[in-house]
Amino acid sequence: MNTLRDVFARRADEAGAPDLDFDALVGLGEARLRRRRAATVGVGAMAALVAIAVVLAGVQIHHAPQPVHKPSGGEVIAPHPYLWWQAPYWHGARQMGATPRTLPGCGDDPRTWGAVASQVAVYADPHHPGKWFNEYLLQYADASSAHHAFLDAWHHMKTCPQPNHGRGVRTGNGPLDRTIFNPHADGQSYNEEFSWLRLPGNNHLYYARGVARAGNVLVVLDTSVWNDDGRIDVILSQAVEQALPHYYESHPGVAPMA
Amino acid sequence: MSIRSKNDVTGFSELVAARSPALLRTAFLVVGDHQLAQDLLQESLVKAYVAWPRLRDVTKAEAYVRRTIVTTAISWRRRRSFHERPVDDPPSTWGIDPTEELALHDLVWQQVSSLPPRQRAALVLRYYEDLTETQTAEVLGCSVGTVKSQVSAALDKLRQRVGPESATLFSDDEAVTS
Repeated sequence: MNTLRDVFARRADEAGAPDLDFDALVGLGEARLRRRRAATVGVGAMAALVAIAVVLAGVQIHHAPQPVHKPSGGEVIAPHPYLWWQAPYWHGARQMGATPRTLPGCGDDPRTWGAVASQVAVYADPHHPGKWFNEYLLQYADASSAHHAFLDAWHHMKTCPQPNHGRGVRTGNGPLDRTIFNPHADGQSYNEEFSWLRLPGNNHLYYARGVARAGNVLVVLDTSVWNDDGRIDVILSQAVEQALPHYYESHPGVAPMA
Repeated sequence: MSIRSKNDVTGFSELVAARSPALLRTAFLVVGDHQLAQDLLQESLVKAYVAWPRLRDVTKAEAYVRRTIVTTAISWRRRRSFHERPVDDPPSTWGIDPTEELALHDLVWQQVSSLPPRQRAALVLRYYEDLTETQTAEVLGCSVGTVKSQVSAALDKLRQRVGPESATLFSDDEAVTS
């Protein structure tokens, strides 16, 4: 018999056996549950603080009618790097206190891009030194400053002559796809992004830099891990989505995709 | 200390042990890449663990994981680095002896891989998973009419690209009717 079903059946046999670590699966699931609980608690605490602030502001206005100072700066970076949960997938781990690796050629340190606050998390596979990635979270005074830093980063990669075989794609104001990672994506927290892939001579190893902006926050991923299959864009989407507190504020009790 | 109960972890382990191989095969057919299929399976199972109180029943959980695999694969492939790469020129294997099943299978697989993600997923669900059109629509999150048009368009493309040898391959009667 020679049918489409036969073709699929034959190919399916080539899938091999699942390479699953059950304890790691449960660990990841538990970590995600804990993070959601913490986020829910954090939202509650934030709501309480806002309520107190409103009351105090009301009292202040009542007793001394004057302009209320409006805080600037917009979004504040969430306290935890995002990608830690994914590191076990490729047998990597977060390297606490480690110095971030630098992309070859045109890679520079995003912490020099003029942010008023920054965080970096470094991940590596101890058994495969060539597999690593850095996750930077940069906070700017306002969205305009972040936008200009984003543009500078884009032009830097675009015009830098080294190494060869680089290519990148930049998008703006595109809707954030709903995926398993961000099922509640609403396209509002992701203003622009680009990813730049470089082939430094090895046909199988791409170095990639991805930058995404959400308001006054940039998320930058430098990595040697992902190949040219679009994963860095997806990972970047999740990272920027969940790097911001408003994700949790606008999705209290975030539930898994139905 | 686990958030999930011991019973939940046990139920989840039964799902992983019993259904992972089949789910990996589905993931592989949808994305055509071993590592990506493993990633999809792992992430989908983690999601199932998080959602376990709503799933519990293994059949329900398996359907959830399968749906997650398919929707995530579509989302990944829809992004720009995963564009459809249509074959411009007719493949050189046109006119092969239909009895050379392996060569024909390779050719068909190559063409299936070049289909847009939704069409490819629809074919896998209909022709490999043997889902009805209604079930396929549920997994893909679309209408039955959309499933019909996606499958029809995919089969048309395969017929055009594979050539006359495809006559026995792509019978519409082959799929399970709803």
